[in-house]
Amino acid sequence: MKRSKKILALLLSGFILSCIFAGCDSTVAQSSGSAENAQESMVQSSDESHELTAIRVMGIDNMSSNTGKEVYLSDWVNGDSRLWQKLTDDLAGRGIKLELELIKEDQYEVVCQTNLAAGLNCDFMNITPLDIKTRLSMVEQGQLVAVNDIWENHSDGSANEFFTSGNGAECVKKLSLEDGKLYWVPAITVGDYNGIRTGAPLAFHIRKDWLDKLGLGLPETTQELFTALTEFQEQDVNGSGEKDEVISVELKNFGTGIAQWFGLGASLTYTDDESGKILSPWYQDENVKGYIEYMQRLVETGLVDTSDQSSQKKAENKISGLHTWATETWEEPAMAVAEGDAAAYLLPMTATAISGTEPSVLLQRGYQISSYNFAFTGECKDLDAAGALLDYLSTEGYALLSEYGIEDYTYTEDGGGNRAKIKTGSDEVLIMANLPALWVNNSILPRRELNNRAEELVTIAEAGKDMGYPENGFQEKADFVIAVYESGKGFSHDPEADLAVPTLEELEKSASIKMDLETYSEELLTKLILGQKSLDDWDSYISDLKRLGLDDLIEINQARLDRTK
Amino acid sequence: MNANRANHIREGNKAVTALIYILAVLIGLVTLYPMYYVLILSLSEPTAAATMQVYTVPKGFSLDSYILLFKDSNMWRAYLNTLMYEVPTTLLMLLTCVLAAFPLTYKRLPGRKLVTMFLLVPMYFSGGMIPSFLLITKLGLYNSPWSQILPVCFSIWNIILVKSFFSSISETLREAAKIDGANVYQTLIKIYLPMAKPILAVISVYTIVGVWNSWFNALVYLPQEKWQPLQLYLRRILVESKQNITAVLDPAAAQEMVKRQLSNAQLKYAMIIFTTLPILTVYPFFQRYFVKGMMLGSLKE
Amino acid sequence: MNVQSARTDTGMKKGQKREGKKQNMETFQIYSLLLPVLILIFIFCYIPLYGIIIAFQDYTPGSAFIGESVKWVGLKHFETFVTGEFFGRLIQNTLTLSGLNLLFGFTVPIFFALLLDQVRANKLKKLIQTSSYMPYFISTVVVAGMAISFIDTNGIVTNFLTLFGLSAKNYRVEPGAFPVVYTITNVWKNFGFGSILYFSTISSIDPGLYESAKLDGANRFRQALHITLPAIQNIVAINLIMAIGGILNTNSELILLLYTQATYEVADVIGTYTYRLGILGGQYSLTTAAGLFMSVIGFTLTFIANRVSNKLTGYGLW
Repeated sequence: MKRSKKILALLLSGFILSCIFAGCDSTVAQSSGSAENAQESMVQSSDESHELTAIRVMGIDNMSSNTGKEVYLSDWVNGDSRLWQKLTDDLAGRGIKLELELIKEDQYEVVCQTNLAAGLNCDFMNITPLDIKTRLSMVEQGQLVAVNDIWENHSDGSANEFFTSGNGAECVKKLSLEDGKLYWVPAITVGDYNGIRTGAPLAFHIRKDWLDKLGLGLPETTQELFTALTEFQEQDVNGSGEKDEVISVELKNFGTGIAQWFGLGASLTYTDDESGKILSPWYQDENVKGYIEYMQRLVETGLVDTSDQSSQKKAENKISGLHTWATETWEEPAMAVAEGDAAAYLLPMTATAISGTEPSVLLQRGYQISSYNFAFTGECKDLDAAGALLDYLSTEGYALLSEYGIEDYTYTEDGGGNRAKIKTGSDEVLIMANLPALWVNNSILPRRELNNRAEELVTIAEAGKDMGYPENGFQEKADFVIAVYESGKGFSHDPEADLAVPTLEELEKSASIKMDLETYSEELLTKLILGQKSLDDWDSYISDLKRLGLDDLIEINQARLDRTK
Repeated sequence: MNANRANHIREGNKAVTALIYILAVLIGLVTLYPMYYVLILSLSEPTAAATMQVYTVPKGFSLDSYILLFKDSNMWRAYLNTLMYEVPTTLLMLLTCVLAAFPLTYKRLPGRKLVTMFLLVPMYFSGGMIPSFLLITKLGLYNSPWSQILPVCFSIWNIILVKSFFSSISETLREAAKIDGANVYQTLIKIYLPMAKPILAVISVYTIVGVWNSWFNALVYLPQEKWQPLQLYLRRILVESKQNITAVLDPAAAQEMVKRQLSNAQLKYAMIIFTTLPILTVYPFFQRYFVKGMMLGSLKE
Repeated sequence: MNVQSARTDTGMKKGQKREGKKQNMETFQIYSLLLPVLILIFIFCYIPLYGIIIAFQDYTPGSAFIGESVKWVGLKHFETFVTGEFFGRLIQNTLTLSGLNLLFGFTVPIFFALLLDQVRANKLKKLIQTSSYMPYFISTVVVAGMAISFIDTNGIVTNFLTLFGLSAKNYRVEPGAFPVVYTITNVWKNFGFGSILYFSTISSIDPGLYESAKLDGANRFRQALHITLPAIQNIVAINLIMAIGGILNTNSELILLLYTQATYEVADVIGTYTYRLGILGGQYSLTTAAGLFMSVIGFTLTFIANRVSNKLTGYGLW
């Protein structure tokens, strides 16, 4: 018995080993004739391949689970996606084609680093995971091509126009390095609401369905909010038998919606639009103390979720308020209400906190430079091909294809130029109904988004009709957002994006400050709000912040802001 | 009288025995319950699974997550890959442990201290990811399944364990073998190996579990899905963004993240059950190699 | 016996020569076993070791390791690390949490193995043993999620504790509670798997020893003390030495999932700080320097612990 088991084990291992060898051989055979990296996700070349210049592109294999199942960009590339076909055709029309290396998102950062160390072998890549210091180092070593050279000398005009006078010009100002040249191309989003350039707002939301259930009106001051939240608990509006109705906001920073009612910006340093100065919430004495005291009250009364388990609590129907995008419609489905109750309805709101200070919100800039960046590497020898690609990326046709897709396949356009997305059809169409094409965002090509915010608002309001509010939908949400757009006021939601790229010197200085300063600031704010530290020692906190370099950071960021003007 | 006394001692104090049994059962429950908890969460209705409020029996019944896993052909490929890595790695690990540990039991081996120091340094000092990556690439192992086997088929800690075990085997056995004319190889194979079953069983368990759980090596050295092991694949499905949602700078990304959190809430429990069941059968299989009285019959002192 | 009989006055030199030749033969054979593994270790562990020098440079991926373009900074990163605002706290927390883990995480597997050894019902024994290492396979993310929801304001454990008069609050943000929660969770997760080694060693003890002890009138405690414990002494010693050497390592993954800003003061350890440094970006050299710093200390501690152990008990790593 024992011997036959041993023989069986040996046979099994022999079999498995031979499988490995067989697999090994095939990979060796495949990769022997080409570069070190993947062959499998390469585009099949067409008949005219000998006329087209190949641009090797490395990026993330973008995935969307929007339709319920997972669809990858590689599925589009290797399958029969009409959108991908159109993209390929458009590029072929310019004499280029893309050779893709698609890496899964969780591996991409590591692959970037290792590829850098071993030597890049792509012409155009998604450099988002690489930090600024690495990028500056790459520039020094000649591993990144100055985009200026490409649009000045190798463009047919479209790219040139885009970057000098079109939408790309502003990012040139922000992202140029000390030599005045742009080395990476970001995704750009321009949002438009009836002629006003604006991005989407973020705000504190309250459960309107709970307010309605208890017959309460929408709070207009922080005191009224406090009362409403307390009422939620007292009257056990979620029917759980416990006082567990809490709001979910971050305790460690100032991007909570509520802080903006107190006139505070979103992070440690932020831009004050009116004065053009960099400020820090910590120095806004009355405002920040008022905010902390208010939050302390909320925490003491048990109205705040301090466990950081928001997704779980959402599912348990315990969340009475949270801070999120005012244009969202995706949080409500995560909240499971009891039988017979009205569906969840999160309504954005502002409340007066300090008399005389108008409550504000966070607002994306109308012109946004995304953190998704792409660059031409030093390996790119054929700059004319690079120019052709850049030209294509600067055209409206590309933006249209990426945002809307193909006419009468994924969207319809009426005589007046209004576009509506088609909501039924193949997987592709379903994806395009909600998202841009899979090759933008954190994938292989930069996005050129022209966001029609008015259209967006209609969609949002309509969405509510399927989510339990068949009469008006989410119209109140849309109304709130319209009010924000028309006032045009709001703190920048991503202060880092307002600033120019730091110089090497600034980078060194801020790197040594940032880590400990951020740790200290986050810890201090959290502990103050939780009541574990006292406001009485305020002066010592301020001196600590100064000692850790808050003023230096403000100075550096001010310099970076000034450079963008 | 003597028989009575003998009986009493053999059974020990009844109260203490009871206490020991109670304690042992308590420990068993405390460690078993959470796995049971994971099981019932994985079988509950998806909405209930997101809440973690299921304590004794599943709330509702749904095999959705399991079906999702079973249907995924990529996952089965990853499963097969892991199984494929298990056998060679374990066999090689046993080989390297024995080959390295046995020589170290020779107390008067010239250069012994040097060798020991040589072994100890890599346990604490490592050059980091990038030099290892460059090495693997130079060796031609990048993108090859061998990159999952060769760099991990040895472990200095395991060598130390085996050496410690070997050291507890009496020296006189070795002397006797030498007298009988055995050379080093014969001593190892005929005397030490047969007695090493317990420690080799432990090493096997460690290695098998280690290979089963590993994903980082694959993250760095296997850019293609073809050879990726199970844990890497499952981890990818479960990548829940480490940032808080409000910190996401883009509404589309926030939306994707919430959707994923919803669908993954139950999936991670099903995954744990799915990946743990096979590995739980490994230990009992090796347990019978922990044979009592291996030293019995070898040499009576 | 043969060797001794060959020793005559005149034959001494011959005997010694034969002895010497035999010795060389033996050494050669021994090294022939050892060499392949040494080469393997050299290739995969020693060759990449040059990466350590980036701790003394200003390194970014893609930069050369040696050459003209390298920016040498000497000990600057070590200085930054050691004189950092939070360094003292990091070391203190690391030592405390590791110390607790040493105290409990090290002893519990031993006690458990000894305890279960006393259980005679084999089926029950196997069942309990199997269930004891199940927590090891529940992913840390899920374990942390469970722990957090247990100690939340209305969580099971909190409700249980209110029976003893403790207030009902969210214990995740209580600095006092963190070491307890972390240690219990960590020990719970690992003790079963860690006891496997002891089980294996205990099972190879000659049962005859127990028989004779019983006949001599030893109860189970004395049997455990004089037979079982000495048998595993060797393994316990090397485990302890390694644990001491690893005192600057903590289960960072678990801490990252359990800690919040409110508990940084007890929970922020070197491992988690380095993790946040990594997210900040561009700190390759600094994180390598921190790692090197920890390695040197760990190595030294192992050395010392081994010396002490050798002197006290005769057991050691070598």
